[in-house]
Amino acid sequence: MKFLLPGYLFGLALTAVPVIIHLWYRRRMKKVPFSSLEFLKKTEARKLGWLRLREILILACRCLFVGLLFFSLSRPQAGGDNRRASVYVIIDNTYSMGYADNFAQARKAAIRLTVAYAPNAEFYVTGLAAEDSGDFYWLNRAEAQEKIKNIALTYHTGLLKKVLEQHPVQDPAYPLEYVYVGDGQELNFRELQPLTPAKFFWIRIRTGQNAGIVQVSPRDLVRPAAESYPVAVRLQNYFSKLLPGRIEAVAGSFYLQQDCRLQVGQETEETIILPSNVRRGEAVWQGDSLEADNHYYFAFNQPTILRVLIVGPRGFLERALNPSRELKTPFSVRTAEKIEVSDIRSYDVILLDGVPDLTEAETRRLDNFLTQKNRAVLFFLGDRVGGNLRKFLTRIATVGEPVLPRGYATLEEVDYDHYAFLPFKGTAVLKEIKFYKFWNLEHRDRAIATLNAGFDLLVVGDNMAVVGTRFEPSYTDLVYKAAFVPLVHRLIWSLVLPQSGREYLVGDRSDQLQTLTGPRGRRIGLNEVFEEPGFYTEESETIAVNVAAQEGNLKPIGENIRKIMGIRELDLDRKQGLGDLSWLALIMASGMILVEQVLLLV
Amino acid sequence: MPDPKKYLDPRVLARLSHLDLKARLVVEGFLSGLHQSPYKGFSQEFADYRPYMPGDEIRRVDWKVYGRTDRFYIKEYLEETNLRGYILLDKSGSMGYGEKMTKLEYAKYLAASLAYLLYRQKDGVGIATFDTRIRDFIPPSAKKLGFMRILETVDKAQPSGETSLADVLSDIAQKIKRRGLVILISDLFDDPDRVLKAIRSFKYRKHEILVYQVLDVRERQFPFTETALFYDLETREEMAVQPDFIRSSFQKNMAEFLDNYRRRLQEARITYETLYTDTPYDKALFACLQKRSRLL
Repeated sequence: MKFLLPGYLFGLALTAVPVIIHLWYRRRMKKVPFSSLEFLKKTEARKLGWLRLREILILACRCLFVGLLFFSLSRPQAGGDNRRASVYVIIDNTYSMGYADNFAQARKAAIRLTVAYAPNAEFYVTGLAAEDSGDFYWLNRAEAQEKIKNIALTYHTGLLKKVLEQHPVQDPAYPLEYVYVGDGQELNFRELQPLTPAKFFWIRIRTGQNAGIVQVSPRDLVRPAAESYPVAVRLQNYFSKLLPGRIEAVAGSFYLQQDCRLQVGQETEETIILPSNVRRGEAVWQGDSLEADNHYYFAFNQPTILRVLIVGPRGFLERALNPSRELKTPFSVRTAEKIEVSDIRSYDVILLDGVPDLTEAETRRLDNFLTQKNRAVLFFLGDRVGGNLRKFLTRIATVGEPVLPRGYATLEEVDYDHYAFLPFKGTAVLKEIKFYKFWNLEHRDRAIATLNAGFDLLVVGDNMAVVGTRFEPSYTDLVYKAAFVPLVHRLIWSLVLPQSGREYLVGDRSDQLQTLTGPRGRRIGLNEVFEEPGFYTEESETIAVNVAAQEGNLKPIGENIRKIMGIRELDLDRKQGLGDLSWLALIMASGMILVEQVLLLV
Repeated sequence: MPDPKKYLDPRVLARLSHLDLKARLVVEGFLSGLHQSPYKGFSQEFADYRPYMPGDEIRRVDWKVYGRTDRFYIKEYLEETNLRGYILLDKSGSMGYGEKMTKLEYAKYLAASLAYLLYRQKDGVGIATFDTRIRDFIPPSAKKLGFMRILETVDKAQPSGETSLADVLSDIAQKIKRRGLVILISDLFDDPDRVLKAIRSFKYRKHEILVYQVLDVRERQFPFTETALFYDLETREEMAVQPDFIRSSFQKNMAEFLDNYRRRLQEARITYETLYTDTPYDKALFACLQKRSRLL
């Protein structure tokens, strides 16, 4: 028998209080002389016997009540094998443990665990999520219990592998044992190698079921400007049943509610229509217990209209961006002969269409332009590529010699997952396009389209891209194809979206140059970690931070993984006998009061 | 004119201090209530002269003395009788029970009254006081000195010790050789079988037995209400008792206890009277006279 709060055992001395009160009461009881108690006893032996027994029983009940009350408060733990071990305790404090009262249970189980070992066992206690590496030191039982109490639930996810790497075991005095206390989600066990010869136990906390919002994103920003725009809400149902529910979108005074049904074990995408002026808000899935997964904060910082400067001769590019006056496109286009004559700071994207070379001043201007946020430059190589231009492009690609194929070249490989080519996925539209003139490009970063002659056609970098040809009839017949306009639109947007449309998760570090103010006024500087979901704002911009969607999958590790990893489930109740006897003692104490009352009535 | 019968009431008597006076008042009060008392004894054995008092019979005047002295004297005789009265007074601790008047006090008045009654009748009267054993024993005597010793013995009797009634009665039965009137005054709080056996042993020795069981009313009714620590007057043992819980069965058992004595003593033709401490003494005295007449 062990006690989590042995100090309360001193209270057992108070069991004498009812006896003292009883004796005091007896002393105070009126003494009445009687001729012969012998006669009373003889004539009433049975009844008096019962009365005396009743009195003793009532007294015993009262003493037991006090005793059991303090016994209960001392948190008795039955059984235990009293092993001496060096125990590495990992408490799952990832946000999936926020399901119901899972985390509280985990802490309670961990505290019980500490008393399952011998008093001189040593412990190392750490949380699974977002624990920074620090000094490794073994704790005694009391210190370990204190540490366990101080571990808090986070919105982070976590990897056992990472924790064990950050906190390597040092100098265990006894045989080493690892104990993981948590719901045992698969993702937490990724890449973990077997920990043999050390024993690895899992105190299993029941795994709940969950459904939640995975992502909220604009369905397609490259579309004519309008009063509203569609937003895709991706939801995942990890429940084993069809789940009816509803999505709510809240943004200031705007409120939207939409019913939907989530299919079993798969992702469901729902489209909600938001007014054009609603760029940030909160999408909520109603009716689930893992709160962090029900909320998704969105802040679409992408511009609604891109301001584009085309430098070079007016041609098909300008027409692609503004096909007609009637059709509104998400572009505001200006053309210029040279960069020098334009104030390029007022543009989002600059297209250099067949510009033969850059002056030193133009190079500097472009450099300055690219240091700004959400800015991009797209080069279309014409008949000549000068030295400065080549040098500028070396950041993403090496420009070789011009190529004039016999006949034409077609596209060999296209990254259809790239935003620019996504609509053409599964079609042969792009395969039919002919290219008559192009430059021999060799990518440094990433080529998203290559020609069958083995040359890169389209090379992209962070905020730069270069096309090894111009979109003019003498270079390619793309300009006559239906794919031309959407391809150009998406290509331009694809250069801006990765920067402006970046999604932040709890655990990411801020890459914002300015200090952000987060939920509850918490301020986050550059390179600081987002600790909780919500909106983080600075003067001109708001970013949304959400929890990692994968934590919402409350799927525990399977039998196979457990076998491979040598993980054994540890049932504290079974292993340590009856476990926590507090409640049992409390119930018995209540029973004593009940019995006492019954005896008083008899 | 004062009503002598009032002295039959124990509560009135309790106000008086002298035991002999109490006894005299009781007996005279009792006798004056009787019409034509048949119990005026005569004897041929001379005892004493006394001056003539108005109301004395003329025939009892000693004319020879008158001739010599010219004064009227009445000649008194010792009554000739075989009666010897033995009063057995239980002074055990339990007899000390009582609120205004303890059982022992009542028993003492009763014993003194009976002794005086017998003394008045010129019967020899003796007394034995006892608890676990015989404490005092005064052999029967018809003389005034003997009577005074009885009163003295009764007066000094204080409740003490435990009851061992059966054993003591057996001892007394051994001591009393001549046939007589044995008056037992006790609460009889002992094993009834053994007590009855001892009482019957007197009967076997041709004694007339008179049993007065003295009780307090509260011993019969158990009227207590609040839970209290009852302690034994004999053993000083304590016991917490809730009277409400046991009253009815206590009364029932007490009734059985008394009924047992009554029934079995009647079967043995032994006079038995239950006297509560507020019972007038005439009942006791009358029973005594009846027994005495049987012996004469």
